[in-house]
Amino acid sequence: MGTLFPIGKKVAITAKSPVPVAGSGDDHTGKTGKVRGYTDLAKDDIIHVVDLDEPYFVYGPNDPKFDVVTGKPVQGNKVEWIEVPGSCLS
Amino acid sequence: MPYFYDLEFASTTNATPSTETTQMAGKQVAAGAVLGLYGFILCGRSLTAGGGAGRTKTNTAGGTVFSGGTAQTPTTKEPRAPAAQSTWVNGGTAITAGTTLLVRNSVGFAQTGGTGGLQPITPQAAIQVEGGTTPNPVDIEFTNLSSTASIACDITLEIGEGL
Repeated sequence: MGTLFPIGKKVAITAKSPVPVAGSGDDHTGKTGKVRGYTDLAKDDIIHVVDLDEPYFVYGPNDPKFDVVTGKPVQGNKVEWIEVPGSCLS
Repeated sequence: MPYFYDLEFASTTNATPSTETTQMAGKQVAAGAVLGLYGFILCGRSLTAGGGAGRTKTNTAGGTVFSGGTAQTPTTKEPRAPAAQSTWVNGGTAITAGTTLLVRNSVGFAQTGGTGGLQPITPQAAIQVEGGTTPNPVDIEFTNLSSTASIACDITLEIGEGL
């Protein structure tokens, strides 16, 4: 069994996932967060759900669009968690 | 009684007519609460008349789980309810479907705006994901397709955790 970080532990992402996982295929190296749970305990490299300290937005091909008053983005998906194998965490 | 949540996604159907695209998917974390599907609603937004369908599929235990997608957090119905344990993605970035999918229902919608959807008659009638050490089924996925290419189609999911 691979690395298992306890739920609630603060972790840092140290490498891009070498395997496809849910949430986003981007390189999240350098982001930090807390372990919320595990979506695959059966694998050697356990997949962790990490709630990010700082959410980010993903926009569609014609986005982003901005609120004319506040200037803040009004479309796009706020990404609050990602999946990360244990080997990519420290 | 479950805690209830909802998710919305403004999807676009496949660029090839009558071809399925996986638009949303979810799975429960290990040792999570029982996850139930309490609503699946589709709304076409096109000027072109035609028909569309949305399908719910479950990925049988032992299958490879979906991957990719853009992470989406369910919104709580009760503002002070705890955050959902389950994790969900939408097709903002492509979702790679799981491998052992079983179609559980198919609902129709009109491309010009006639809403289609379903809600189980009781909580026990909901499609459920057992939240054991290894959840079963391993995930739940949602696709749509339409007779005209690239139709705008809003999708709403309503889910509950716990029974």
